[in-house]
Amino acid sequence: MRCLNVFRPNPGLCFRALAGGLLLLALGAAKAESDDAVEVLSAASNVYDGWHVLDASIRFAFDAELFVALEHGVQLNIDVLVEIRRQRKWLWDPVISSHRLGFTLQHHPLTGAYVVTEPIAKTRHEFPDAREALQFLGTIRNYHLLNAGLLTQGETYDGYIKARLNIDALPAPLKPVAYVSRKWRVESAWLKWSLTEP
Amino acid sequence: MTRGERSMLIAGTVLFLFMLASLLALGSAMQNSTRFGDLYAPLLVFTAIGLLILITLIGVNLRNLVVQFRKRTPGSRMTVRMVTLFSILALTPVMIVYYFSLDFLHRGIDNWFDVRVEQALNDSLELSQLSLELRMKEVLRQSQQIAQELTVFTNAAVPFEIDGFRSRSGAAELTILSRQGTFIASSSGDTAILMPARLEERILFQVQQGNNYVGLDSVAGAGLSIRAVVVMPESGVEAEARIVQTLFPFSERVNVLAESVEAIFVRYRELAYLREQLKFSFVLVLTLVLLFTVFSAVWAAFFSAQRLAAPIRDLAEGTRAVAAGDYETQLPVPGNDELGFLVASFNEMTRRIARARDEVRSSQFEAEAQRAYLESILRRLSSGVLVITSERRVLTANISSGQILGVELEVVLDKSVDEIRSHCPFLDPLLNVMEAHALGNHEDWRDQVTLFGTSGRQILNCSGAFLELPGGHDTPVQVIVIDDITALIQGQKNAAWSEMARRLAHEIKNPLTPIQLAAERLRHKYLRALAPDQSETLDRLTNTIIQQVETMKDMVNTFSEYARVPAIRLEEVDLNALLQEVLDLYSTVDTGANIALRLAPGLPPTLADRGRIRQVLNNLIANALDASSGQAHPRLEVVSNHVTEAGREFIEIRVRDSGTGISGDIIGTIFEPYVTTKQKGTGLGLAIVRKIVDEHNGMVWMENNRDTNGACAVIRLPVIAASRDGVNEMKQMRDAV
Repeated sequence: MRCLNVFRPNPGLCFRALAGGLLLLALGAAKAESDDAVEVLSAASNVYDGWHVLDASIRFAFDAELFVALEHGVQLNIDVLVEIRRQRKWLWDPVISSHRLGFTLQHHPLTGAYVVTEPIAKTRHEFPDAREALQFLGTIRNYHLLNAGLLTQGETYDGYIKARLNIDALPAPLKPVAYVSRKWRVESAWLKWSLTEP
Repeated sequence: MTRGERSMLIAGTVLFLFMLASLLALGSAMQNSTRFGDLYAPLLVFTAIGLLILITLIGVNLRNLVVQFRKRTPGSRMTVRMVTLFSILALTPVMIVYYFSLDFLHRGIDNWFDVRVEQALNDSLELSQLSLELRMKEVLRQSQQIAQELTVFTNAAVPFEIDGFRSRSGAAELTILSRQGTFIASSSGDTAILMPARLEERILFQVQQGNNYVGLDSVAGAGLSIRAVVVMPESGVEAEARIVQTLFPFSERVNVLAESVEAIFVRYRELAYLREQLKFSFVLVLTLVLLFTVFSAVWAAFFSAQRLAAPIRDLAEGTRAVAAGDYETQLPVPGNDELGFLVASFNEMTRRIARARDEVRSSQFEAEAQRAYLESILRRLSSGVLVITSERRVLTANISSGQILGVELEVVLDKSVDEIRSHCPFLDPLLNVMEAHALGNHEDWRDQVTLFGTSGRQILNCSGAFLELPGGHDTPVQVIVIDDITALIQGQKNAAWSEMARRLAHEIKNPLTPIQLAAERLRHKYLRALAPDQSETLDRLTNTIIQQVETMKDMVNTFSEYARVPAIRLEEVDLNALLQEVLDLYSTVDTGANIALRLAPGLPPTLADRGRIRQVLNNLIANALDASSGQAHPRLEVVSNHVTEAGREFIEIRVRDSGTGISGDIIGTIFEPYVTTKQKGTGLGLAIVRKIVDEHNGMVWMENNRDTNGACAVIRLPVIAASRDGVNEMKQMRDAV
């Protein structure tokens, strides 16, 4: 049976569309992320074989709407951002190294699996459950940050890490909603740790 | 177009183009995320900012228009009408298009989704899954068989046998692991693969629990494959249980079909999920396009209307400026269209008006110069000049006219004849003459008018002419030139009388003495020699001759006195005291008359020659006593008064008798020489009075008493401040006379 959806003027929809567009301006100035949807639980680095190696633990607690979207074929792009900054007393700390660990989470209806891929490393992991996939995403082990020789002796360096859902990579129709909805604006706060000298 | 308008147009066009490009990119991003997908949010923000700018521009324009409308600025009503018209013309089709676009959008998106299509896709996915499950079951059974067959080989022998098993089974990879997941042996059809597929912990855990595993693996670039992990039955060969993992790839065709089914299913499901969001996004973009179009049209309407109304507003303001007298107004020509032609014509008109104004102003300057020149001449003219309009109103009066007539110029200037008559009744004779000629045939006239004004009796020589004046006078104005010839005539008369008196005195006085001597000698020689009757006759005749000669001598002396012009000695005189002094002399003489003296208190002093004024008073009193002679109870009354008339102050002395009065025939000429009502007398007494009073710039006339019999001689002497200037003024006046 064909879906006959007779058009009726919907002023509410028009209004929401306009309001949503105008609200983006305000959102540009004042971000409103979901505070508890993602959280960096721990982060630490050790020097191993002349490299600073990161171990971090991130907790993802997406809203159910995101899982619904995921099951309906929407691909979620999750970024883990890492920065190494040198401490300074009077000025802001300069970023001497930054990393972006990009992951995609996708549902394959044929196999029923949730696939986590890392485009840069070209790794692929399948999980029967979305939460398992997120748990996998939240576990970072032995990530090589930078060569320890690049850091100046005597200086103090801090590492910063945060995770977010990249809503710019969402399908275009979903973007306006994602820009204005707290459920979709998933971004953790920066978590700081001190880099240990070798 | 002004610089501001050009800047506004350029800015508006740039904003329009940028917003158009932004909306195009936004639309493109909606259709394909790979294009402008990353710029979706900035594009939305930019578009929203552009709309806000447009709204602000429209708001500012609207506010300005409301202010102009309330102030009734020229062109504001037209601008309102044009903006309204343009906006309606732009909004109506856009709103219709927007309405139907929304309709088509909703219908179009809804038509994408069909329950049957969705069901078919679900069925195809399920069919694919069932097909794969069948294959997986077969792979599981095959794997279990391989595991059964491998139980007879020890771990050391398995590496030599495993290739055969793999190739015979058709598996892509066959791996033998220990129960703990340690690799024992592995065989792969792809020699490039060095490491076998890693067994995930969850699968290992499942198998360790004694449950076989079969599942689909989707390997990137290699398509789908079936992974089967089974427990190898325990045998006597190896004490520890082992695990067999097999990977069976699907055929390429199956992979293609599976990928196709999954891709279409995912796409459809995603679209179905995003249907409302898709509508929202399209409506958002469409609404943004609508707002952009509407706001752009409204702003363009404002811009166009103001641009069209600007020349009209300029014209209205220019017209107001011209009406206010500013003929220098030049308006900017908006272009070569009809409005431009109109504005150019206006500019040409103002130029011509300014030129004409300048010419008129120049003519006015010339006329003013002429007038000033004429006024200067008139001011310095000794003759009085009056210009009287046909409405009997004094248009012009020079200074001399005021001096001659003895009035302030303000009293006559721009006043009607009636007003002048009421203020200055003594000007009646002159006004009557002027009006008589004005009512006549408007020919040039010349007349002599006698006034009895504040300065005494004046004889004016008036010449009138009727002139046509330009500038609003339809009927000719009467120009009257007035010359005061009183002094001239009086001088002429005085000179004539003096000459006659001198001649009489000279011609008569000379033979009188010989006549008298001859008569006395005749009497002396023949009176005794003649008979008594004859001597009596001689005596009577000679006496008569001698008496008449004496009388003639007296008359000649009087003539000499009249002709004599002694130097006048002006001094401050208290006339009351002088009157008292003169009348005191008469009180000692029995005149037979009752003399009354009534003096006004506080009489101001005047400048006069005391001796000559005393002579005047003596003459008048003597004349009055003569006039009253023969009356039973003759009365004589002398009165002094302080009189103010037409702004001038006089001291008036009245000498009233109780005689028979003076007949009207001679009362006007009683002060002329040889005019007398007495049997005796030279007829020069009152003439001398007149002469002395004239020398004092005074007035004298005779009038009959109203209530009683008799006549009254009236003298008026001007009150002049007893200063040196006043003395000099009097002397100058006297010298002029």
